Amino acid sequence: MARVAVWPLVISLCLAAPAIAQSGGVGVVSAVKGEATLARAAVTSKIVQSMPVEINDKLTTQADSHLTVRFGDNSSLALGPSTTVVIDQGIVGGGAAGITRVGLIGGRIHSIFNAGLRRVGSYEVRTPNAIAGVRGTEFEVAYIAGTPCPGFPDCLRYTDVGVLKGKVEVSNPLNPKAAPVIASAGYETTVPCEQPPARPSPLGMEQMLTPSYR
Amino acid sequence: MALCGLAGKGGNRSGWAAYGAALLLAAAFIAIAAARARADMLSDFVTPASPEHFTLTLFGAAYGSPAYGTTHQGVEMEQTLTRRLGLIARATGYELYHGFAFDTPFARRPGAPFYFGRFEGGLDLNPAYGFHLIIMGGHDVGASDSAVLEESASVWFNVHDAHPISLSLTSSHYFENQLTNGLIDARLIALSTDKLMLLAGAGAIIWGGPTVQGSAKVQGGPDLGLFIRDWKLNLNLQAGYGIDQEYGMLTFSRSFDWEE
Repeated sequence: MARVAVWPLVISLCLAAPAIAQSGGVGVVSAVKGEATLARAAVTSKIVQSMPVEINDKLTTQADSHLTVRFGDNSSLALGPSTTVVIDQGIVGGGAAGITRVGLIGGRIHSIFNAGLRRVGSYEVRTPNAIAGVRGTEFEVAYIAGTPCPGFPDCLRYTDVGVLKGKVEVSNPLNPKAAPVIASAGYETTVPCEQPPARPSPLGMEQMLTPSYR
Repeated sequence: MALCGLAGKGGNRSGWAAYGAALLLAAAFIAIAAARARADMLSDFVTPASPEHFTLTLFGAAYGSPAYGTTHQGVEMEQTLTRRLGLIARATGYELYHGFAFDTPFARRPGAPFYFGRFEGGLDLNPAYGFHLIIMGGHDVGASDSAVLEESASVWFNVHDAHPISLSLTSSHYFENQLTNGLIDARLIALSTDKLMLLAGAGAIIWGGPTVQGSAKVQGGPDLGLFIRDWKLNLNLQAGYGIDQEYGMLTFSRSFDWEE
């Protein structure tokens, strides 16, 4: 799974905390590269740095663009190119401000979740066919449509969840009978179409499948 | 065919043994691919890849034993053409310090060390998920004047599992001395963290041909691999025992990818 750049401007994020408290939102845009838009109450505007982010906001990045949102609890959400998310639920205002649920409509995100300030399981990412419930701190989610799912060639829409730190519980809301899968650090799982999440495999397995020089 | 030259005079037995082992493994790989193949596989061979990828790999290797010492290094480039087909080119520089063994492309002669280069091009076929077959041809320049034919087959089992298993066979044939070799590896991913993957398994080298005295030569031993995620760096160490007595082989590769 390709990484979404997270570290650029991390230092500048520290300066954004007062802005979150003042905005009454859940977070602020701490870094933007390229073009990105924010849709709020039927009004779409171009995203600029330090713009407040509120619940129900829809954030979209264009190709070759990146966006990072920092929350009051020091969690962050980085959007890769051609990605759309909706801030579904969150805690508003102050140092505890943050998201509790984000919807990934398409593309790839990288989340750093500050578990120290919240109870376990209080953050989840939803794609059209997967729910990734956070039990840790850092993970990536990608929702891909229109491309055959590796290993499941008959499925043309799938979610990849890769875990860098801690654990993430992954389930498929389209298949409620299927047992959730817990992926731990260094592992990833794929949720193909309506099928249950696959057993976790080593993170970045795709890179190993392509033949490298031996 | 890469191995037709083995039907030469003298030493045929060793050549045919290497040929037979390589053929059996190749047949096994093809059987696996056929079992995994889907009905629409053929159309994927002509459907453009989306997105396309260009991969540049830097690599190097060192082999040492009392009977043989060699190093090589080079660069490999691969461009996807379709969903299941890629174009591949490789340039390698070889240094042969002493002895003659499994990857010596010319007949024994005095004057070591020898230095030569190799330029190869070919195709990377991906007939099934986790299965790659690379076929390359090329020619040496410098101390070696050999034409070379090389095939590499690799397959992964249990991809959606905590410990996927890899089986690979790389076979080369050198037309100058009619030597054929096969490098066989079986490894599993023993450990995965956010920073690296650790692989463990076993490998063997088999070679033979008219210039190799006696039966086919074999050596093998345990194999350890390390993949460092942030650098996309592969390190592999194999050590063992065989016709060259004890030996050790260290390889590394570092890939750079571009999505088009």
